[in-house]
Amino acid sequence: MSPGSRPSEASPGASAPVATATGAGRTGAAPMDPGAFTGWAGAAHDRVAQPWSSWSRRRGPRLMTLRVPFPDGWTVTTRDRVVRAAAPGTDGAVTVEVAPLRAAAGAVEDTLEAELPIGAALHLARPLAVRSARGWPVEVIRASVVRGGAVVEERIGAFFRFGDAIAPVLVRGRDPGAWNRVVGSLDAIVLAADFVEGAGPACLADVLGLDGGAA
Amino acid sequence: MSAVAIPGWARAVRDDAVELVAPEGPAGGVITVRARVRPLLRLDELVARWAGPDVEMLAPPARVDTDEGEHGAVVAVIARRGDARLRVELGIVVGDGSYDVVVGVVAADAPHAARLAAEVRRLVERVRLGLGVRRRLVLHDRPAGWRGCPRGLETDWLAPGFPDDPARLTVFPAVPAVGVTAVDAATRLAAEAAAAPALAGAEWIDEIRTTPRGLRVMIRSAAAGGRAVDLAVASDGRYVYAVRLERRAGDPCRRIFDATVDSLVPVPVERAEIDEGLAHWAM
Repeated sequence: MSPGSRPSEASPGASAPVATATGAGRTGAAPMDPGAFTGWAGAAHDRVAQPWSSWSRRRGPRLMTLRVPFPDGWTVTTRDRVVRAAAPGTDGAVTVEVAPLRAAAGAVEDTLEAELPIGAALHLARPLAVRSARGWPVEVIRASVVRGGAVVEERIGAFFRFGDAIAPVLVRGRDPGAWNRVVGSLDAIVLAADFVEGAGPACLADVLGLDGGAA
Repeated sequence: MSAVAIPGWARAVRDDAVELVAPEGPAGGVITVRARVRPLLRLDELVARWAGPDVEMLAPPARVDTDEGEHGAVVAVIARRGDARLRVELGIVVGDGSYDVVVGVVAADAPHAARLAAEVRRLVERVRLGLGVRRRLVLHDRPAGWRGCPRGLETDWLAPGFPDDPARLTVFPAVPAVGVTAVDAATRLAAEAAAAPALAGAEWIDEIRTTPRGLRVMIRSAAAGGRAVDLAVASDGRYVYAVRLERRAGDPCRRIFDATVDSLVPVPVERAEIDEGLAHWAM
């Protein structure tokens, strides 16, 4: 994704959204601490190469699930295959949403622009390429939802790549105080995510109930 | 669906199912046969769907080869409906992305439970999917602890530490041995593997052995640049089977590859006495 290249019409519901590349040139007096979320930078760009060249030739499977190991105290619910977790002590103001694997096309835009308020703009930071704790390639994009010159919500998208598919994770902070309290711990939580098998059968032995052996 | 019938049992077609009722009436057992049920589920999920979540499995699922040469299984459970206990005999025959499901139900303490189990098994054996010779799923053991990623008819198995540990095992679909030999397949897979820069120019070491199920397997291995590939190709004269392991050189997961190759189950052989060639016309 190229920061600043987002077309304004790609933000449904926004009357005049203006996507702006931020980072050093970030505008708007954000009340949230922009330096608190430092872990994402990770300096892990040298680990981004795919482990196998043939990997990219294959279609990403749809039956794997990204599982984030939320610590005790988080309130976790699942609806329509999307896992939503609220950070403890934030009264739901800081949440993490984990969506199922999907096609890569449009995943970043759909995730970061979700429920963008009318009249708000999304200011995007430069994407960071990092690795998860288990080694999955992840693209991290920080965004601020700005309305009337003020930041009304902080967002962080973490896009876990699995073959040609992506599992999007969206972190949302709607309250500056709550955000600043927990933001420092979010990177470790999200980047600890790992892909696990989905509910469906992985092989014929699963269908036949022969998990203990095909004999 | 094949011509589903049991001599002496009442037969009725209801929506997408055939229902068979024992000569004594429903108290003697009711069997329902549904064709082309989708999607494929794990057997425990299927049991929960048809027998409910509160079940007691009477014995591990048993594999059944159908007369037509397809993979099937039967399992018996006790299901609870309030105070009632029902014996549910569930049978499946797996096709390509769907299966035929045979469900027999009788009171758990009914005198005809054993007969019901036998009838369900016999119906499973007689199911005809009519899919013929084709590329097919291959039955093999799950590598313990590895994560399975199904891709159509093949399955990728990712090592527990993947992707930091890049080991990946692929079980390919069985391919009809029509104009294709195991040597052809091994040569092609090796050429594909050698196309990766890390393995360019690597020397291949070949080995031939026989699996516990009697499959003669050619194993080709190469290592270079810290990476290694192992290929296993087998044929029973009807189908060609192939397994590939990509790993770091020296990774002991090669034993997982060997165990998976040894667990390959050849496609069931069609039994010659089938005389139901037109059975699909008679649901």
